[in-house]
Amino acid sequence: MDNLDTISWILIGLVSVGYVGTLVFMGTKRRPELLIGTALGAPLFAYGLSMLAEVALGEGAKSLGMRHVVAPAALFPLVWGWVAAMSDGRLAKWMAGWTLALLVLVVYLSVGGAVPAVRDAVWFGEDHVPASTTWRRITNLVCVVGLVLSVWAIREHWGQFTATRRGETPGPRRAMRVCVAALGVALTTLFISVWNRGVEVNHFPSQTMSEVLVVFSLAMLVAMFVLHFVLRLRDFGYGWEVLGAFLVFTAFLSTLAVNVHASTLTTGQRDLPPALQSYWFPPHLAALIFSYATLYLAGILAIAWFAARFWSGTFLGGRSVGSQLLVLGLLTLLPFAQLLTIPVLIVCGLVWLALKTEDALPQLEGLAAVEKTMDQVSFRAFAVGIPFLTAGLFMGAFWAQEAWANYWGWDSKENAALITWLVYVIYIHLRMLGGYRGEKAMSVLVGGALSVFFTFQLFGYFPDSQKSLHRYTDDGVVPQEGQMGGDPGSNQQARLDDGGSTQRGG
Amino acid sequence: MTADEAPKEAPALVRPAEGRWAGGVCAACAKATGWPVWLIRLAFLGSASMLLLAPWAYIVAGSMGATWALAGIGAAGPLLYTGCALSIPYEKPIRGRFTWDFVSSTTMLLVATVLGHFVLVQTTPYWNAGRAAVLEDGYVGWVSWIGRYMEDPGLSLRDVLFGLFLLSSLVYAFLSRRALGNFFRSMNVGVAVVALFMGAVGLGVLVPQIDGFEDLKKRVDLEREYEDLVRFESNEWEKLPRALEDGHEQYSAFRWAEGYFLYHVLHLYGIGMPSKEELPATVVESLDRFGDKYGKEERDNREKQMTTAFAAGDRTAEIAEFIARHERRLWRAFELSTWLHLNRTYESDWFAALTFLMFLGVLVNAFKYPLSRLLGIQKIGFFTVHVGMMILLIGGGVSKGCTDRGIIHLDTRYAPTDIFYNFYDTNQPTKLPFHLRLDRFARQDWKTLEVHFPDERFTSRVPSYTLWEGRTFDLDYVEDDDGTERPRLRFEVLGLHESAAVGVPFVEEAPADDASGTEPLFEYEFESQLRADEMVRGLMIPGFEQHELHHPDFRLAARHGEWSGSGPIPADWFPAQEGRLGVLKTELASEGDATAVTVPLQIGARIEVAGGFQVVVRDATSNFQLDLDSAQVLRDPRPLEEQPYVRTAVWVDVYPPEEGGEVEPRRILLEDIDPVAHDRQSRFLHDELVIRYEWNRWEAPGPPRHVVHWGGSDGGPVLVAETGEIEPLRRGEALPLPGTDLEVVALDFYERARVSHNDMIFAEREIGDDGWDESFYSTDPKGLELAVTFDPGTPEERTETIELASVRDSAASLWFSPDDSFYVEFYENTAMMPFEWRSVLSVLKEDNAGELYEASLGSERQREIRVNDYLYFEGYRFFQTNAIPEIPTYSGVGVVYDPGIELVILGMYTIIAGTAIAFLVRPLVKNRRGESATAS
Repeated sequence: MDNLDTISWILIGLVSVGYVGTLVFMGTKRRPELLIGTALGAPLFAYGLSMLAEVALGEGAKSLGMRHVVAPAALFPLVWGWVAAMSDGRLAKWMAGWTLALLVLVVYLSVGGAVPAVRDAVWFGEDHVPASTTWRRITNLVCVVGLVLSVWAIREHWGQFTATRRGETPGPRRAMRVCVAALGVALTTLFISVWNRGVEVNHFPSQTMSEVLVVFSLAMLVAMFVLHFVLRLRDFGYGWEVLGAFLVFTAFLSTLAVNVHASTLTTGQRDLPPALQSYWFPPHLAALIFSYATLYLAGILAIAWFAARFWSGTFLGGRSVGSQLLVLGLLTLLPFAQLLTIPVLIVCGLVWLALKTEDALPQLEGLAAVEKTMDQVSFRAFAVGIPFLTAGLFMGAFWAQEAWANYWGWDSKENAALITWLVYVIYIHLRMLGGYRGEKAMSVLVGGALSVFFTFQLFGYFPDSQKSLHRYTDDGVVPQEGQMGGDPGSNQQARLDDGGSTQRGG
Repeated sequence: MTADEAPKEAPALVRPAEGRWAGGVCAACAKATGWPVWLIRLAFLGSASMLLLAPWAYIVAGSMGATWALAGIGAAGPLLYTGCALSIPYEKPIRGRFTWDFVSSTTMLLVATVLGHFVLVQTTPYWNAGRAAVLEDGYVGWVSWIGRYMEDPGLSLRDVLFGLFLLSSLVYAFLSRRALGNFFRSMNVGVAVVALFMGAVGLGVLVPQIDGFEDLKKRVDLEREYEDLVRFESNEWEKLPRALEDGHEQYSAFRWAEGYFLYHVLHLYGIGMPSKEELPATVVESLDRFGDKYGKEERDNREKQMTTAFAAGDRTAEIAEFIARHERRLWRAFELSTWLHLNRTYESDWFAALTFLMFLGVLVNAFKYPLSRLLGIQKIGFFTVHVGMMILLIGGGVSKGCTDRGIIHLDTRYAPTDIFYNFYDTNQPTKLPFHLRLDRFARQDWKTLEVHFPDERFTSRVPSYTLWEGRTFDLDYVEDDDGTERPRLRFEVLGLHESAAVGVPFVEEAPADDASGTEPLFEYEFESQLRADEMVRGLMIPGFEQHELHHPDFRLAARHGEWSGSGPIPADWFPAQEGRLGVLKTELASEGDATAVTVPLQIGARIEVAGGFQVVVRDATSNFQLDLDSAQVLRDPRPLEEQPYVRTAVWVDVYPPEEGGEVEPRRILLEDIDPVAHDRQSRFLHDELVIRYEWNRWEAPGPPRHVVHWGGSDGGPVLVAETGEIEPLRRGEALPLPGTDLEVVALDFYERARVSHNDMIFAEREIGDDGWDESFYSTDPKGLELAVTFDPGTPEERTETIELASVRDSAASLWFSPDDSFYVEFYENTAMMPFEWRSVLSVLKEDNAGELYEASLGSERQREIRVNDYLYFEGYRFFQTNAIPEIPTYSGVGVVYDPGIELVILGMYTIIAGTAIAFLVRPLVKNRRGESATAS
């Protein structure tokens, strides 16, 4: 750990030299769009640097915001390298060398224990961890490989797309097959992890938040695997397969991020309280989590749609400044934008940039068809998720009916889930009856994904959640003796507590 | 305008038949007034948004005038807009449907909701009386009730006027049925009603809901003054008047929940919150030692919890400060949400009205198309969903109208009862149409193992391992020669048994050259208190509290070494501190382990404990008894040393850290009921301070103490009395204990005893064909077969199989490692949530003569209720809901009468089926037919 400071300083130096070097490079190449693209990443770079500085200064990067911002920051040079590689040979070499150096250091750093979360996530050489942890780490490693593979797939489909545009015969599809295979491997290893966790804790592993999150990761991989075949993006053409590869990339990245986050939470075994010992527990949880994962992917598509719209306005014009600002505001000011919308915005920008360097920017009329297809694709993803959301929600009601003869207790988690469901009900009506397409339908989808996020992760902050029966997932919340509503023993107990000085009531 | 100016032709006030309503109306208004369209739009929207600002004006500024003004302007905008829209003619005669847009339909729906609210408020007395009549006489009850009402009190003018209003409303609705149909068939109206409903549900999430919502009278009493609460909180009143107590409780909960929420909203991403501090180096060092023994995962989890708790403590303080700063605003928000029924949203009349509107929308739209079309693959899924939704809402309505929920207090010691208490009001008894008897009740706890390393002194709690067959865990990590870490111990659960009979342990003296794993041991026997003439054998290992012999007349312990057999007796043999009872273990609730402070427990002393709190131990008893009927404490009047040791309790006064803070008087502590695990903490005034204690029977006042000692080099074993008298002891002879009838016979004094429990007998669980598990109700100790492997994976690996029984304070529940480095303890963990509670109920009906007879409900399994498995009888459902650990014969059984359940469940299944058809089956079918499913 002692040489950590030195390494961090080397890292800071490398990042800075690389960054400044790229800027200088671009200045000499007279490529203003690349310059702008690089400058766009500046705030993220600054943030990443500040984190490294904290490590170097020995303060540790512990705040929530930082951890989350660092992920896209680290992603940036990678994507950048590939984009640059597509446009300029020399730049590509420069970028590739720099990225490689960075990667080597990051790996060394994580192995050395600088960033425990990252190390915990991929480092499985350590002895004496439960099998579930080992398998989760293997999955994370597969996801890292998957990230590289999906970038390859993006590159390959991109090549096929441009080849067809030039009238050449596109090359064979290879990368995506490998990618989907990696997806299959990842979901198998993560399934083994979840299975092992079940054995280790002796019940369906969804009681603590760290367990639920890993199940969510698994659901995301399964959802992506299913969606890959349901969406059938091949039918739409090579350009759409780029989007498909991008989705796979997102699924790998999200799995990795969620798993890393899960490993920062407490992982102790906790016994199931009597109310949770029901056969409804696994299907209720599984259906909801699978639907969350699918709807999350639909939400990403909707966000990508908005990002594409923003960039088309930027590159092609045809949109008012007001609507551009609105979209930008929506994408950057959403809660926890740094996790999702900003990275998507950046990646989309890079794709547009690449399109421009290839001189393949679509025409405005062509865009309409693209947007329509994207709308269809997001609806398909939604259509897979909604039956599971409905089933999961009502399975909770069946369960509550068996436990307390009360199918709906207006518990705040139930209500949050109901709100999510109603958002999608509105989406169906607007889309299928109102014929809403494009920005309106898409913004409802984004709203739905947000609602899922609130229900799933932020629910504990809502005022009415303080006495919810669904708070068992929080750390440090002890399930109560009386599991239903008021505590009828309370006045008896109150008498007991004041030493029996008051008289017994009615 | 001057006279000679030709009057301009009035601009045509027409709105286009085509195009959107909102735009059309605004354009028409603009045309009429000559103002720009954006101004008109701004005026409408701006005024409507005033409606949202009105509550804030009250909450933030506290100005009633501003609030009403804003509300007036806010209501005027949408109403004016709708009025304009209705009064402006179309360009062309309207053909087809009238188009509702979002603004106008939302306005109409809100108006209808408010109207529905008032209708429901007005009719509440009729509903309640009618419902009571129906419950009594069946549905004809309604008719007879109307007859009775006509006679007494007779129709009032108010009744007549209200009846006329309802009648005219119905006639109006009938006459404008087409318009109504158009209204509900509009997609915009449908979306608006769902959105409003969603918003209403959301309001209920953002405002903490009051538990006593089922009884209107239990709602907050708005008559009372805020100052009353302030006076109460500033300690001017000793106790809040009973009428205000509930309200105060509700307000406190509201204040905390909203403060917590708003604090986090204002500190998004954790910006500005107190940062997570690094744990102190001593804590980390202690954690590392802890990790060496209990493994890295356990260690890391402890660290995560501590770090979170440290930050949470600071944050809690900041939230409290935030709340104090905004106290008045929070109070006004509370008042407002009470006034608008927001803190009982889901039971409010406006919510019912809104739900009814949604039902109408679903009803009208479900049958929008001809049946043949509805049943085609394109529509059938959606049709099914709508039908399901209708069934669900009807069922919900039935539930709302007819549900009775409560709790029935049953006790195996008592006669059958037909009285149950409505939830949230234990003072309001209701009668069941039959009696209920509790035949059996039991709680089974998780079988748990703890592994202690007595040489290590950890401030952290020792982890407890819940056991199941096959569970394996590694402990005590050591570094090998090559630097790799390996566990020194592996535990594997070979078997768990529902019943264990403990025989007499077998003891033998080990040879002097093989003393590993041996202890000095005193073997004795005494006459059984249960069966006369039967001798019970006992073992005593020096230094183990569990092995001491406690009797009403004397206390006996063993000591080995420490003393040569002559000279002064070591002082710690008979600690004699006035009022010393054991140790107090305190910690702060929010920070847990990290703040743990352990201090001596002594009556009368003012003791400094965790978090700067101080406690004074007021009183203690070793004979804590509860009158099970009244739940009152039966005080043993004798002094502590004369009380029998049954169950200990301690009363303490808690002084807060700040000067002059309120003192919490006489908090009761029970050793065997953990205040956190059993949720007792929230009932204390200073709920931040967790206090537990361990009673030490040797140190506490009690009968005379004696110590058995092996003696020095010069003499044989002796009995040392507290008074200093020393008597020699001989094998086979009774101990010279004065003042007791009980004869304790010394059998043997081992220097290197090896103990084995090889005659433990385990019985297996027997589960009947119908799932009946008799062993659940057994109070026998549980049995454990455990494999302990030393140095697993190394050439020195060896395994020992041990058998343990969960007998409290007995050697059978303990096993000491041969090298004394650790011992394991097997027990049933009563401190935590149990594994499960089960009750067996009997239903007793009354025959014509008023005699009770048992209704046949089948076997015990069929009459058994468990959590997640209720009993159904004549419309009533009974489920396991509550238990009080202090009263083991008591079972709180939830009672529900709800005829809507079946309909709702049917509706839900229908909806699930409908969604699956619409979104999973339909695309597949269409795919097969070669159509595009998404092109709809």
